[in-house]
Amino acid sequence: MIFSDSPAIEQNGILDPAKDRIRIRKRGGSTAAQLSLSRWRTSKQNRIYSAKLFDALRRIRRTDSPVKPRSQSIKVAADRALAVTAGGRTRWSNAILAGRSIRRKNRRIRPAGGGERPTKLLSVPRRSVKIPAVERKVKFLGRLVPGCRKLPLPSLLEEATDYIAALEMQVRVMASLAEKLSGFAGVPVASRPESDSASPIPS
Amino acid sequence: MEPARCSGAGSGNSGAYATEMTETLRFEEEIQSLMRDNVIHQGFECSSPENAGGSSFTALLGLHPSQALELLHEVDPSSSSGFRLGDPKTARLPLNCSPTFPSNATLIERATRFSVFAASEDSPEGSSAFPSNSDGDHSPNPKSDQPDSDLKPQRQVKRKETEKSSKAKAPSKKGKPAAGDDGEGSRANPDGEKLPYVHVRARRGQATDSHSLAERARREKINARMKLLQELVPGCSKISGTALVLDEIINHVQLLQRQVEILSMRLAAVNPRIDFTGLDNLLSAECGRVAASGHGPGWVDGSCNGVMRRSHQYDDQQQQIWHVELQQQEAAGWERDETQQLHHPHQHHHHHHVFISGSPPGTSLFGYDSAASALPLASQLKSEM
Repeated sequence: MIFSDSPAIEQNGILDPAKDRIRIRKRGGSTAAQLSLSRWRTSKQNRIYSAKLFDALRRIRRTDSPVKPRSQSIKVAADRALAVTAGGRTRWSNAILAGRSIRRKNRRIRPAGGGERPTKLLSVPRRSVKIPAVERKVKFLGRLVPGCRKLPLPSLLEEATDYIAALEMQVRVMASLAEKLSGFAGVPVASRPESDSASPIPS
Repeated sequence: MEPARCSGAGSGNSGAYATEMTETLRFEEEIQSLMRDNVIHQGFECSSPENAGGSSFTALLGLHPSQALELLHEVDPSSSSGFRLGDPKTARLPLNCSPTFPSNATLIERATRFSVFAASEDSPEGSSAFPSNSDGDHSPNPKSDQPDSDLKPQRQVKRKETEKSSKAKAPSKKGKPAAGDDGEGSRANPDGEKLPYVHVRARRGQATDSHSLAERARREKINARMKLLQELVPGCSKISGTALVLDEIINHVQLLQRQVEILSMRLAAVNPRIDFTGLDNLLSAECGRVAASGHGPGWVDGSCNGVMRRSHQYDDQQQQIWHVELQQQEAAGWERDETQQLHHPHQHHHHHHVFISGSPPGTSLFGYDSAASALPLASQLKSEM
């Protein structure tokens, strides 16, 4: 069902990987960032990711679900499938794939040090030196993109480009998947004119 | 060789040589001063100080024609025109030299044209244009090949030296800050060779020390990537300024992540119907959680439909599950591992069931039980929320 319907995903007509490739050719050289833009919009990627996502969803085990809600495990599985589709080239994908165990370790360690921190902060006057706004935003962006906290700005921007493109693809695929599985008229998830198929396909 | 050509040009005496020597020396000094201060192009820098060091006269003379060729591409590969290049002011021209010397005006115009080139992308085009031109110029005069071949090993050697010495991204051609000699100030790259460094072109009036060069290269990289991001994020191309664009990018990333969360919740709600079966609903906490997510803020639009469907699902599934409990049957369509897990919550459900409704599960009470447990579940929902 999914695989036969996946061409419908790319027929939305808003995303045109051909246009991206033309843009790259015009610029005379394909930087990694431009390549990544078009990479995440090809129908091939869509299909690969939707297949992986479907497999992951089917395999979600119920023993996990008492611990955390199933929606979170779905999100985790979707992120991991996305990281696998990305291949081993980007930092964020490697961080997602590697980070499951690491983050849990961090979470255990940090509460031990958490008791010390408030006192230290209080002793030092906060914001005595105003951190430049751009710097703050860069750090925040580094925290948002997984695995890119201490990255210098140009590579951070590159990672962010790839990450945003990948997230957009993830949203598209999951939206169409939910659409097809649920069968009722889709709730518009995005404010942008991203169209889910208007007529629900009864499953 | 060049002296031969000069003589062939008609001023073949030592006296003429001497005067031309002074001309060339003056030209040489000019070029050296220009080079040392401003232009770090390999070919010129390497060759000019080298030749100023007192290399042979032939090398000196040989330098100019090829330099002139590569510079202007209009010049005949004759040495005399090279002399004329260095000395636009003197009216004294060797008689038999072809009057193809480009005037100052054209020099300036070309220089400005070259200096307007954008960074790295156009330089291959620009540099590729030059070899064709210089080839066109070289071909009529085979004699010029000699000095060129003479120079090229020198140039390559010097190129390596200059590459080592220059700290900034090496072969960067810079426009001069507006100095007197506009003609030779901003030059285009004569060789079409590609070097593994980033070509940074400085524009007129910009500082050319290595620190600002490196900074400028870094800035250009950052700006290029920001531009890409701006195209990716909708509504960002109008905004100017790094901070605001970064704001938009951050908002967009957060929006996308939130959408993923919402969609995953949606999928979680949809899925029980298909493969997750109702096993999770055995545990009331799980039921509460899943249903609570349906009551969540993002769901307001479709929530009515969703909740009603889900409650129906729960009832059906609970009834089915209790059927299975009592009659030890496998429900149709459920997978094997799920039925195995069905045994685990057996006891929990028994206790829970007893706890909730206070009556042992009986076949006759099925409908009543489901309704009864649905109510406490609903109240549990509200308490959880």
